[in-house]
Amino acid sequence: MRVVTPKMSLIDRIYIPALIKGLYTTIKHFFMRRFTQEYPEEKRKPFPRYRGLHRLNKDHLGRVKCVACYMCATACPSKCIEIEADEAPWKDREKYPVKFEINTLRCIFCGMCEEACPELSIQLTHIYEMADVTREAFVRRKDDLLGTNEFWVLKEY
Amino acid sequence: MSPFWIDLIIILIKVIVVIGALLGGVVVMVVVERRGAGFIQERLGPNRVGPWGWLQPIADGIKLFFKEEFVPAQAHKLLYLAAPAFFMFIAFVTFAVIPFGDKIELFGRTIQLQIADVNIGILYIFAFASLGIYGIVIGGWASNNKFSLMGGVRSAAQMISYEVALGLSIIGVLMIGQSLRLNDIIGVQTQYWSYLPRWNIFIQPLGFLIFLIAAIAEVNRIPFDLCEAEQELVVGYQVEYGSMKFAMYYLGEYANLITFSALIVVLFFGGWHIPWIEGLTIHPLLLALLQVGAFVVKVFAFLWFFVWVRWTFPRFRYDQLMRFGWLVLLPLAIFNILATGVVMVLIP
Amino acid sequence: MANIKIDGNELQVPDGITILEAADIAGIEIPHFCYHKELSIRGSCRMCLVEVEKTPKLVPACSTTIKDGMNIFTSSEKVIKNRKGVLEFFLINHPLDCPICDQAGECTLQDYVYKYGSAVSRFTEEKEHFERKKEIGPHVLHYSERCVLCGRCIRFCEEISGTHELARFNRGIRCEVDVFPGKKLDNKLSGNIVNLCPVGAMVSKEFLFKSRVWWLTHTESICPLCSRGCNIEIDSRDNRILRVRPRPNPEVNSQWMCDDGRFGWSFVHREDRLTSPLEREGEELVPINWAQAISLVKERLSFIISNFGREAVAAIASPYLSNEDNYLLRVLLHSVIRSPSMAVYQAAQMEEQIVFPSGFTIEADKSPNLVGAQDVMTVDGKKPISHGKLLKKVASGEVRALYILGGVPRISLPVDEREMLRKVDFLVVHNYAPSELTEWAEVVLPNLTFAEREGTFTNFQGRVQRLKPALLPPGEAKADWEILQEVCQAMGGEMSYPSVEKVFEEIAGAIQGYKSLSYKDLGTQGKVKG
Repeated sequence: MRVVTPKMSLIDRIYIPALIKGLYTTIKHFFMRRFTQEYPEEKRKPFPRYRGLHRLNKDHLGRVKCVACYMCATACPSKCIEIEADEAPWKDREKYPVKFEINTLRCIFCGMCEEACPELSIQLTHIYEMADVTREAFVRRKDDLLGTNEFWVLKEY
Repeated sequence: MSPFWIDLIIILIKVIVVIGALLGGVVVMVVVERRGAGFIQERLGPNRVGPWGWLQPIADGIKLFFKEEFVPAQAHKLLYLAAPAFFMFIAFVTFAVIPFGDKIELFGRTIQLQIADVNIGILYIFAFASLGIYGIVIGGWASNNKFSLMGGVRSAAQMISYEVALGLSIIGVLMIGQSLRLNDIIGVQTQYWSYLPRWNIFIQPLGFLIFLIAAIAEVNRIPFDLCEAEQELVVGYQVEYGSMKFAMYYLGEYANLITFSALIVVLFFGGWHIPWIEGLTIHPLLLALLQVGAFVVKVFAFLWFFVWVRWTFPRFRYDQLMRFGWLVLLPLAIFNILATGVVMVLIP
Repeated sequence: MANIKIDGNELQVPDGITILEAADIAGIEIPHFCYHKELSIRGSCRMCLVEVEKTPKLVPACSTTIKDGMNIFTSSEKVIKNRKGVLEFFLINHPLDCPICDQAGECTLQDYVYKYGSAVSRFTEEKEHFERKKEIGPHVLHYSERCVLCGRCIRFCEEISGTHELARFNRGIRCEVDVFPGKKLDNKLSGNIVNLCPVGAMVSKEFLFKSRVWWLTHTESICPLCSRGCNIEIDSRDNRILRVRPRPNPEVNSQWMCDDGRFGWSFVHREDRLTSPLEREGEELVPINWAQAISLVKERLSFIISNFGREAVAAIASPYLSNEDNYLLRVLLHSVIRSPSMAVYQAAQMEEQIVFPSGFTIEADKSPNLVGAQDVMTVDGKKPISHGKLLKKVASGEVRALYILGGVPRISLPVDEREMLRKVDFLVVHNYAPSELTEWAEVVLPNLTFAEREGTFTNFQGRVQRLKPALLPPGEAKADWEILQEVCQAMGGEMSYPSVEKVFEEIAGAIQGYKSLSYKDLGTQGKVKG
C-alpha cells in the first residue's frame, strides 16, 4: 500500500476559509458554558469512594480501634505510616499503638492501608482540605487522626 | 495670551489626553485579553479583583511595581535598563500622527483632533514602528541570556521580512489617496459611490489583508510571536526582565497594538468617518464627539480581533514564517500595486 | 544404602534415616510441627503423614525409617487431604490473632495454612479460651491459645537443658503446656524455646511488640560474650539491634545459644558511646578530630621513643577485638616501632563453665577471641607476655607509653592494675564507651562493638569465624584496624590495608596455623585453623 498525500485544492491552499473556520470555532466556545468552579465559595462534592485524609476509628468504648498490627505500614507503598506498639492498658485488649503517625506529605492516598486493616480502624475520609504552613503540621499524630472523625462530622461536603 | 501659548496649551492637553487614552486602552486590553482568553477556553478568567475583574490590571501593576529590581550579573547594565524604556517610548510616540477625529471649532479656533498633522504621517509611523525593534533587540542582547538573544534576533529578522510587505501593501492606498498625510487619506474615504462609502477596504481588499497579517507580525502577536515563544525561548527577549521593566515592555506592546489597530482603521475603514451621517443635522461639537466615538469603536473592534486571533491560531514555525513573508506576502503586495496602477490608468 | 523413590525421584539414601530426612535430602518439603532435628521424635502432630506404596494408611514421615524399595508420595491426593484436615483441627481453637502475634511472618502454622490449608473454617462454635498471656520465665511469655501442643519446648527442657521445667497439663481440649507449680522457666537456655516454638505460643518478653519480623535486617555474626563463639544472627532495624538469634552450626553451638549472649547486647546501644576521639585536658576529656588525635599520638610516641628508647613503648592487645585489629597492633609495635613489649589482656572475666546434658557448654572465659589474640601477637614463635608482667614493667618505669585496645563489654579491673595505669607517661586507649581504662588515658580513640565490626574471631576450639557489620558506627567511631593503620602510617610505616580481607590475607601469610585459610572460604560456619 502506498500512502498518497491528498492534494490540496486552491481553496485549501489559500487557507483563509480554514482560518475563518478556526475563528468561528473559538468564538463559538466564547459563548459556551464555563466549567470553572469558584473554589472557596463553591466546593466540589467528592465521589463516594474519594480518598482523602485518614481517620482512626474508635471502638464502642471510645478507645482507639487500632491493634498496632502494622499491616497498614507494611502495605503502604510510600512508607508514610509510623507506628510504635506497646502492651495495652486495657484488660480485653493486648496490643495498641502508643504512637501512630501518618506523614501526609509522603502519603499518596492510595488507600492500601484501609484495605490492609483487619480491624477497620484506619479509613480514608472525604476531607481534601489539608493545606498547612509547616512540615510538622502534615505529620498527623494519633490524636489528630482520632479527631478526624469529629472534624469530618463538622465539615459537611 | 499670545497664540503661541494657546497653541502650546492645546497641544499639551491633546498629548495628555492621548497618552491617558492609550494607557487606559492598555488597561482595558489587559482585562479583555485575559478574560476573553478565559471565555474562549470555557474558563472564567480573572474575576476576583474588582467588579468583573476590572481592577486586575491595577493589581498586576501594584505587584510589578513592588517587585525587586533585579539586574542579571553579566548584563550590560545601561542598555539592559534603557531597552524597555526606549521600547515603550517609541510605542507611545508612534500614536502622535494618528487622527482620532475631524477638526472641531472651539472658542473660535480650529482644533485638529490629532497631536501632529504631519504631511508624511505614514512615513513617520513606519519609521518609528521600525525603531521599536531596537528596544527588543537591545533588550535581548543586553540581558546576556541565550534565550533573550535568540528572541531579539528572531524579532529583527521577522521585522525586516514583514515590514517590506507592510510597506508595499499600503502603496495602493497611497496611490488612491495621493498623499502621505493621514487626514488626506481619511478625507478620500469620506466620499461616496452612490451610497457606498469609499472606504479603502472596498477598493483595496488584498492590500488590507496583507496589511492586517503584516501588522500582526509587526506587533509580535500569535501567530507571529516567534520572539517570545514561551515553549521554545521561555519568553524570548523578556526572560531576564521583571518588575517595572517588564511592565514597560508590556505597556509598549499593547500601545503598539492600539496604534496599529488605529492605523488599520485610518487606512482602510475611514478613520473617524461615520457613513451617512452627513445628511443629518447635528451640532458640530456633538458630531465631532460621535466621530471620536466611532473611531474608538472601530479601533476596539480590531483590538478584539487581535485577541481573538491570538487564542485561535498556533504559532508559525520559523521557516514557515520566512517563506510566507517573502514568497507569499511580498509578491502579493507587488501584484496589488500593479493591479491598482493598471486600474487607475484604465479608470481615471 | 537404600534405594527409594520419593514423588517419582529415585535416590540412594543411607540406611536408618527417616522419610522426613530422606525427603530433605531429595529437596522435598514435608510440613511438620513436632519434629525437630536436635530433639527426640514424638510423631504427635500428624502433619507429616505421607503415603507409602503398599501401606494401607498414611505413615508419619518423621518416625518411619527408610526401607529399601520404598515408594513414597508426599503430595498425593490423600496426603494433601490429610494436611488440610489436620490444619483445620489445629485452627479450631487457634485464636487467629496473627495481626498482634509476634510470630507472624515466621510462623510455621501460618505458612502451612497459607500453603496447604483451607481459607474457610467450618467451625462456628466459640473457641476454647485460656489465660491469654502467662509469664512462665524471665524471658519467655506463654500464650496457651496459640499452642499446637507439639511438645518441642517440653522435650528441649528434658533433653537439651535437662532442667525439666515444662510439661503438658490437663487432658483433651483443656490440654496446655505450662511450668510445674512453683517453678519458673529460668534456665540459661530458656530463650531458645522462643525460637523452637513453631507458632506464637512462646514469645520473647524482650522482643514483645518491638517490630514485625519482616522488617528486620538479618546479619550473620558471632556472639562476643564467651569463647565458644556461638554463631548468631543479629536482627536489626533503623540501626538498632532488636533481637539476636542463634544460627545453626553443628560444630560450635548446634542450634542453640545461652541467654547471656541472647540478651547481652545492650552495651551496643549505651547512651555514652564514644563518637569522637578524646584528648585529656586536666580532669576532663575533650573531643578533637581524627587528624588531631592521630598527630597527637604520633607526637607523643615519637617523643617517648627518642627520649627513652623503643622498648619504652608497650601495647596490650584485647581478646575482645578481632584478629585483624590485634594484628595491626602487632604491626605497629613489631614492624613500625620495633618494640618487643606486647601482651594480651588475659583473665578479664572468668566464670564457672556450665555444661548442659546435651553437651552444650557456656565457656568460662568470657572473651571471644583470646586464642586469636594470642596467635596474632606471637612473633617468631615467642608468645606474648602476660599483661601482669607488662604492668610490672610499667611500675618499674621501664615502660613509659602504653597502647591499650579495649572493647570489653563488662570490665572490672583490679584496683592495683588501675593504679598502675596511672604511672604511664602516655596512655592511649581504644574503647567504645568510657570505662575504667579510659579513666587515666591521655587519648581515647572510639572503636566499634561487635555489631558494627567486620573481622574474624578465633574461638576456644581454634575455629576462625567471621563477623559481619549489622549497624552503622556511631558518630566518627572507627574500627580499630583502621585507626591503627592511620597511626602506623603517621609513625612512618609504609603499609596500606584497604579492607579487612587484605589484613586477613596478611595474617594468613604471617601467622602460624592460619596459612590454609582465606577470608572468603570462612563462609558462614568458619574454619578450624591448622
